[in-house]
Amino acid sequence: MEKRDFQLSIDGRPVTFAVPPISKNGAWLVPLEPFAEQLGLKVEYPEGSEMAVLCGGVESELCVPLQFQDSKESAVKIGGVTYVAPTYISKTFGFEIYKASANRLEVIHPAHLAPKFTLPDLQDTPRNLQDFRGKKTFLYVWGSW
Amino acid sequence: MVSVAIDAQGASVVRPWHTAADADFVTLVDSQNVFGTRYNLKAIPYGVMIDEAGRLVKPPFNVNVKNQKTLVMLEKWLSDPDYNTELLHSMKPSNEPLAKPNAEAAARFQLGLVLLEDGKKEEAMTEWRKALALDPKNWIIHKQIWAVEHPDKFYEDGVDYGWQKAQLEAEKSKQ
Repeated sequence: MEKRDFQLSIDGRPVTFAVPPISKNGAWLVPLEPFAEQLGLKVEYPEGSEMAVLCGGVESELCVPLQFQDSKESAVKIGGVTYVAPTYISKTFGFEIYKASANRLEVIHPAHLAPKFTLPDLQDTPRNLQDFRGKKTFLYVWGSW
Repeated sequence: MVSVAIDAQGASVVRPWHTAADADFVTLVDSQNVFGTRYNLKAIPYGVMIDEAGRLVKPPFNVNVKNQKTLVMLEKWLSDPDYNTELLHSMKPSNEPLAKPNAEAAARFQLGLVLLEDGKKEEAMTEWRKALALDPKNWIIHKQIWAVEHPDKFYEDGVDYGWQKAQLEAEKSKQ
């Protein structure tokens, strides 16, 4: 485990954690409770079980159990703090992820994304909006008329 | 930059413009008004700014690429990450409609596109005229009617803007 800078933003707003994120086996983990709160998710710890349950979501209410074990689809307790993989949690609850770099992650509510479309180019090859992901794209909309 | 041509007549009328501009960007052809419908556009030319993460950072806006202010703004957006963030923070989520679309007009326009593709030009024009009556400020519908009915004013010696002006006056005087 090592501590380095990890930048996480939700809908363009940087998130700061009182307890900093950690890097474990090459993946970043963030403290569960403040992260869940930022995503509008509720966290519960059922009595007598070794798990956390997260409830909420973008489109529908979903409850997902997180076992306390060492995998990216679970929660891990280190030094009294429960950590989770932000990508797994975000995707599970319907958020989009943009990994700007190894140490910079953007979590995006789908309502903030540009409407998707697929259109042919002049060679009749279908192109998706997602094909242009990773670069700023200016769409110039015109007509020959 | 990516250009999106909203043209019911398809790639054959778009390609000459792309070639003449010696364009090194991708041009997409929207013969079914897919883009216009998804982004609720009623006129062209429009600009749409999408950041690296796929977020709309500004509502689609009427754009004049010769306008210096617009060019300066676009250059700032491309080079300044803070400006992108600033735009994002003032942007409403896109699931809040930018303007309420006229559903029947959009449906009739789509039906007209299908009829036109099937070679039923007169029936297509009837649907488009009904669509325009329901959504009279929709310039995509209005000018596509002109382009199909008067191809000589659009595709022979370039677009005849003088004719368009006269046509508009004539239509206004009929109302």
